[in-house]
Amino acid sequence: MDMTTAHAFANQWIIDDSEDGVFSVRAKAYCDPDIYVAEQKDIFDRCWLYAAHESEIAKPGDFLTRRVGARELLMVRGKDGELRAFLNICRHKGGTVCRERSGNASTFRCLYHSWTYTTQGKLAGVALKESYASGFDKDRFSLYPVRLESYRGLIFICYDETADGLKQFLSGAVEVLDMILDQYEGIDMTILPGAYEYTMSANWKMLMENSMDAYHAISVHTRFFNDYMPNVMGVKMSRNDLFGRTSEHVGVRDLGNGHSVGEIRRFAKNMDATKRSMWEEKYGKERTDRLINYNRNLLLFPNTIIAEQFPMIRTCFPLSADVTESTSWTLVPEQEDPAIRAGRLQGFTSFQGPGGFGTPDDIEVLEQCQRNCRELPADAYLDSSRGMKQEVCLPDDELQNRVMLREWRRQLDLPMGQG
Amino acid sequence: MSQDAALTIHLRAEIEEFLYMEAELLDEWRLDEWLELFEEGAISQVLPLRDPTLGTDDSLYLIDDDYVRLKSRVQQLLNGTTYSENPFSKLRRLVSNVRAVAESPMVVRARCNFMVHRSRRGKITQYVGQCRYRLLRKGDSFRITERVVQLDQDNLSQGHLGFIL
Ligand code: FES
Ligand SMILES: [Fe+2]
Repeated sequence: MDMTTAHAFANQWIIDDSEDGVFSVRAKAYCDPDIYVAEQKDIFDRCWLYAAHESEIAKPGDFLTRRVGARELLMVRGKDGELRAFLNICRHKGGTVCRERSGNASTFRCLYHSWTYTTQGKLAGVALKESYASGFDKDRFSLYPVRLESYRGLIFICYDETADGLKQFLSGAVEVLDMILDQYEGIDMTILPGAYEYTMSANWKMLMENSMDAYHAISVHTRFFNDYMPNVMGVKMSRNDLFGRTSEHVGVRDLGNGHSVGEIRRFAKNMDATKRSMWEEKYGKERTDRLINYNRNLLLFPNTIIAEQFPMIRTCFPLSADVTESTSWTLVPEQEDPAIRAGRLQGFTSFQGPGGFGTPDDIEVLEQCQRNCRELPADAYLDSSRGMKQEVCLPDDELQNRVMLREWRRQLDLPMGQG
Repeated sequence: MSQDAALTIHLRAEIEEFLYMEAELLDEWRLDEWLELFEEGAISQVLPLRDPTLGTDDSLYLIDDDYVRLKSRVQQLLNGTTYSENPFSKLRRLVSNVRAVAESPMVVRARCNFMVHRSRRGKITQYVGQCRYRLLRKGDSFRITERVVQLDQDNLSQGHLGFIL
């Protein structure tokens, strides 16, 4: 955001005072249309965004069309085996190059005038080419490429030519992704069909905060903890069992670049002994204990949550300051015991889904917060200070919000207030 | 009219009566009575939106309730802890295009199209789809052993399934 626009806003978007333990964010940050425009340009067009999993485009010619950030992409594994992403837009007059959601193709033909592209994005041919001048150079009309990199099967894209590479962007999150994915090493993973796609009338940052926030669990998710868990799962858990500092690893950590991880104790252990000894040999006892006894919820700035438990990958994207579109996938071992698969999916569906015993109530509160934000005075602030003077922040503190919002402010280049 | 045709129409009338009664219970939030329409061990599902042909173990269902889960769902809706439905939304459903086939003297496969209108604090969401049933004859009515909902939309735009579709 340029300085003149920035000054047109009130001068303190975030008050961040670690001395006094104050962390306040202007309510307008969640509902201002100018902020939404700035976020598109300065955040979603600059950061690496989760786009797909390699298993979705595994074979040469496999493709996927999907909106990632503000644009629809054509992601394709070329005949040469390389993964590439392109804008799904024809270089002739802007037609849609590929109108299917996924499949396998040897070429892509634009419907409008039949310009045809290879799986590597080159213009292969134009219909009735005799009428083009001899100087017509097909090489000038390759599809617009978009940067794509993947890490351990997770494909990310970035609209900024000048941004750092993916691994640098992921920063401390690399280690956490390793911990999550090491557990499936040597196993073919696949994204199950049936992603949950829904929109809600709430700002995307509210959804991101909510996804990591354990503070609301006891109040909003009463029915899950007091009804579903005891009556259907046969487990009874207190807040302390779940989020209390029952051991040294429980807590939330800042991973750099706006990313954070929350670790909590696992309450269901279904680990077979062979795995334990295999991992101990490979990773040592301490790391193995941590793999087995803890679950990690990872927030990748700006818009991705990876919950190890299922595992779930969820992205969200603002359609306006007030509307967010969200997609959740589950990543599972391709071959697994049907009973384990069933338990995994029940766990996912019963909480995460829009038909689960958690998500609808989250949507209810988030939509109310959103409406209320718009009604607050222009200089009103919301609070994210919980746990601020503590040495260790727990999952029901708000360190993850502060980590995300500081990065948000930095990316937008908004002026910051000091107390 | 042939005897077959007369039987079909008679069966459809019976099923329509049952489905209208079910719709009324849902619209009026009489969920304990609604639950009584289910046979113990029944299942209640909402299929994945984009590819509803896959099974529960190789795709992600929106809802995949066995009888225990369904009972818990009803209880959670009635005891006030489902905050997305406390206070209850206004629901109105239209049921039509009813088809029914007797699989055996005791078992009927039925389906209907539906439109559900949910209104909450000025926000209206609509759900359109088909509902398929496996019904068991019980006295002069039926008991549900399977209830499978297929929604006709690519995503749950502004919607969720915190209530019973
Ligand atoms: S717009 Fe694609 S061929 Fe003309
Ligand atoms: Fe929640």
